[in-house]
Amino acid sequence: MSGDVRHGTRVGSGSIRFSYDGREYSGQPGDTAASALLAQGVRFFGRSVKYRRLRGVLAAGPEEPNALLTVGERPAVIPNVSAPQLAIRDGLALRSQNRWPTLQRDLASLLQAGGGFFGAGFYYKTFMWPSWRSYESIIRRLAGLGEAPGACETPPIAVEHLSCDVLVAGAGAAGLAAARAASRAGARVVLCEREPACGGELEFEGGRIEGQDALPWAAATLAELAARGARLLTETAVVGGSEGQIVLHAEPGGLPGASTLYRVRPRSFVIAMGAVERPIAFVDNDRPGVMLLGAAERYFARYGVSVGRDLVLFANHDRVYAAAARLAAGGMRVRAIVDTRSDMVGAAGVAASLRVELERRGTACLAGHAVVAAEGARELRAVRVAPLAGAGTVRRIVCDALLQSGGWSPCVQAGLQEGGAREYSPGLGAFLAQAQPQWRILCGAANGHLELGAVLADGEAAGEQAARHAGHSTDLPTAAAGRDEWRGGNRGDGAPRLAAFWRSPAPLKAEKRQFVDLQNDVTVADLRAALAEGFVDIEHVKRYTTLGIGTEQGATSSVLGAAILAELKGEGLDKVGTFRSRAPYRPVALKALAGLRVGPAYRTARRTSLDGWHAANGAVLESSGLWMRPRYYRSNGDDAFTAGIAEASRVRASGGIADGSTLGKIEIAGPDASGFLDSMYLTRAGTVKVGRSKYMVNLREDGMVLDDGLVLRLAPDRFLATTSSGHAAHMLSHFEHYRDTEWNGRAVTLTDVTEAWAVIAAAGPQSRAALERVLGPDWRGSLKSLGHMDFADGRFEGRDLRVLRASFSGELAYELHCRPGIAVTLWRALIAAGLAPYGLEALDILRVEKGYLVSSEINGETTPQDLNMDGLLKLGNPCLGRELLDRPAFHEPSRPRLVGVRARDGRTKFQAGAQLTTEDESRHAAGHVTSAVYSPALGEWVGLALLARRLGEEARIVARDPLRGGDTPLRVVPPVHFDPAGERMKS
Amino acid sequence: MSGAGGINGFRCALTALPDGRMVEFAAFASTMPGALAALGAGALAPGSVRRAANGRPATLHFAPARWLLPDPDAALDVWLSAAAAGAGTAVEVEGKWTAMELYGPQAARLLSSSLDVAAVLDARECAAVVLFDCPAVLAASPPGYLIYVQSSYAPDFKAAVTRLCAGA
Repeated sequence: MSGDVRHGTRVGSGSIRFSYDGREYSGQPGDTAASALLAQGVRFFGRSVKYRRLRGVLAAGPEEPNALLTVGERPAVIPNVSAPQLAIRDGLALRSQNRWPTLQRDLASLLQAGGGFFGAGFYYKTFMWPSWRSYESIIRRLAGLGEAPGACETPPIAVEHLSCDVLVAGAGAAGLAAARAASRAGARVVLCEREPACGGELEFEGGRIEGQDALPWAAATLAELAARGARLLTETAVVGGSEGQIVLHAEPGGLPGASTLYRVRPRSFVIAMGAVERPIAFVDNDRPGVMLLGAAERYFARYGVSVGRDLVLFANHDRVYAAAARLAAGGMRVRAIVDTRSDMVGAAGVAASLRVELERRGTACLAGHAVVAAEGARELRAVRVAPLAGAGTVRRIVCDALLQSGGWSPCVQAGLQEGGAREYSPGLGAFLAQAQPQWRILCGAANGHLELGAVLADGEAAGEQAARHAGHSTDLPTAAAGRDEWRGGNRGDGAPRLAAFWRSPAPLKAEKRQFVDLQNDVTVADLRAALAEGFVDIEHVKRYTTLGIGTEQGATSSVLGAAILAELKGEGLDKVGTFRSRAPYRPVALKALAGLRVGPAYRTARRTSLDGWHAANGAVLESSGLWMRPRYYRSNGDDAFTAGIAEASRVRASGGIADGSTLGKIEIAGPDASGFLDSMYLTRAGTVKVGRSKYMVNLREDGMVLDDGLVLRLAPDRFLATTSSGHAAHMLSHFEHYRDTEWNGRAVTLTDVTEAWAVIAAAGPQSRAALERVLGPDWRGSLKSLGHMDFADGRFEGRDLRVLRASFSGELAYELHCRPGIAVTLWRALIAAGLAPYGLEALDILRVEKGYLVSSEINGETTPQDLNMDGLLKLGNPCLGRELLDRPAFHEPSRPRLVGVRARDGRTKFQAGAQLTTEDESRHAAGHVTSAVYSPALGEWVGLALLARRLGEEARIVARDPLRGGDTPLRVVPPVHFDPAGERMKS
Repeated sequence: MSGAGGINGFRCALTALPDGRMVEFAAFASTMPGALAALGAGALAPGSVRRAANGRPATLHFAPARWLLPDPDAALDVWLSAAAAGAGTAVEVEGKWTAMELYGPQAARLLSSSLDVAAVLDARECAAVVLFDCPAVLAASPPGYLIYVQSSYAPDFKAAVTRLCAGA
């Protein structure tokens, strides 16, 4: 067989060489790993995850539970690649999984011998002594699918956001009909198909549609769609979606790597994703050689692969006869058709005539029979067939392939999002999606239609409905007539007339070899054990037994498992239901889900206009929210602690500059600006004179402090409010919310100007002199006359500059608000004038020494009283949140109060986050340290803390920090540790 | 019709436009559209762009009651001064936005890595958007796009576009 050139709808001529388990193989262009290996007689594709049983190929699509391969060489391997989906290419190296040392001789397969199979829950019960940890490493080595890659350099992922009128998922008969109908109605259509080629079952089922054979019809339909501008995405599957966005994943060649993630927002979504064929449970139904009937047909039609020479077909519906006829026509010997139905077989239609013909050619058609067991030590050699009623003879039929079909499970996952539910259809022996929102339409096999004419009609109706919902008109009478024609004239294989059948009879002890979920080695015995353990709900049974987990996601096992569970419980399948489907519906590499947010793009950062200078001059940058800010400069020390102390000391001794550009800045303007701000701040903005600024505090509605900052009055009707760096976006949103609700209609505008102004903080006793040198004579007068909290506007290097005298360090200090274009020039000039840069570490030291607040203190749980802002409250401004400050709970002795703390011995370190207790009550926290630094000015550790009000300065408290430093006795002091009178700042 | 195949490098180029004066105009809630005719504000809904004689955007109505005015000309300046008191407020925002041009046959495809530009600009000439996690004002400027990115995000925005152009 290997030397022959195969012919199929997907394979071309030529040869591709690849390896599997170290042996060289060849295939043809268009082959998958499964088709190429099956064509060369390979039967074994791996071992099962739990029992290490040899496994072959079951399916021809992503639902394949067994044939998962590892691609590549260690450490750059990609595990769990589905062989039926993986396109072969020259040089591809493939390995089977779950075996050691080889697939043929696997040491762990000895687990099958002796003690028999490990049932569900075995791990939980058996490995308890002396402890689970004793066995964990061995079990983890044995468990799991494939091996995790040690390193895997795959190409970057592409992401595309797109919208369309109608998204059609699935390009089988229904999907093509739907896409064409929508496109003809004028809708912009995107059609996605998980396979490399379109047509679905038309590839092998045949039939005639609109006067031509099925496949030419599909090709003509695709050509028409292309001419109408529809977009076709092949090898692209729906993997999830929510809130109107559908996520598609394209994986060319079935290999994770160069894939594309599509985020589609369609106005209408047509789900034509077909149905997945189900197996039937019988003893040893996992033997290599046991395959789904539809899969065998696909391998033959697509790739010219005969999956066996002597076939037995086992099914519960009429379609098995048409399939048998096609396989026989392809040269395979169909030895028997085992039909579980006894009273429906060959009653009428296509199946009846086919049955007669098959029997005439020597095929045994056994109605009312079932395959009860497979035979063969390693692979299928024969099957045992028994009548389902009475005490007839058990026959042994020699065969090398058993092709089974237990019916179909519609692919409704995409219709179950956002509250969708399934309902059982007894006629189909399957679950359908319940009523959908108008924009989401299931059709074809996904909607329970299995006859070609009905599938086409349903697809077209869905396409028209989708187009109408997207705002396009359709010609209803004509379209309806067309559907009637379809119903009458395109029968294909005809109606399946299925009679549900889930498992063959078996002795109780053999149930542990009746596999329900082949990927996870879940057997009928496991389901029985789960029930015995009290796991009666299908969701619990799933978790106890691992039914339907893994890459297969229950595609072939969920309904089968639920049906057998129903049988064991003596309940109807409609009552038992199936477990919920969750996205992703098929395996997607995490890298694909991450999209572009990998490596340097993992997290977007905001950078100030001085960022380049910082990076080039030894700054150690750290993220502060989204902003990148200098923590310290390496020129001042090897670590943050050393450099921070050096930088802070220099500011107090002479002066320094810091990049404060991240400070949030909002311009509030308009005739009503003053009144608006009065309502938003604890103190009135209206009293601030033009050219002056004021420290102001915002409250939330519940009275908690939200943020603080300076408000500058630029003009009578124009203010600039500064916010803390991390709060800028929230504060703008907060202001906008109240402007647009409580203040709706008033003349006030809000503009974020954070990035329009770079800010350089110049602090220290020499800061004024340095500014005078840098800004020149034009500014000298202004600088001299600027009082604390005054500001002046002017120009520097031809651009706007605003100098505000304000301090966050306790020193004589200025904030230079300049246009970003001149920030670096100004920064360099200030350095040349003697002011050295300092970073966040020094900034923190300086502000803690002065008792200034940051988010550690304004933490969303503190009121103005907690933070010693009683003076601001006395002004009585009726602002937002003010009234709730009178709540009694805010005045209880247990409420915190901001205090300063220092080590009682004057030298021991303590850290922010330490819990505070009294010496007497070591088990009851009385507060916590919010900030702590080593103060170079004071020569000891100083901090700020929120401490219960009932404890005064005389309290003997202890900082409890068991994980980092143990206990440190503290003394309570005023929060302002350094220069409490503020003489330096006002000098 | 097309298939899929990961990133292979998009054929387009991003160039920075010179810094310059920029103004944001915000209208009061009570302002009638007619009072904003100078901004090209025929409708309340944002999305329109009024272009200068050289084809460059003069006003971009990028959000409800908000306009971006890149380098306003003298006439517009006069209007701003006169109208500010009654219709809204103008704020100098030089440096807030970094202007860039994205041109090339795959410019739209590159941007669609982040959002569906075709849908966003279907019935608009400009819009406030988030591109590659960066706040921006996006304007159609056939055969490419003008993008005003908030300046603090501009380095990372450029890096994202550069990576996609390089196929990295």
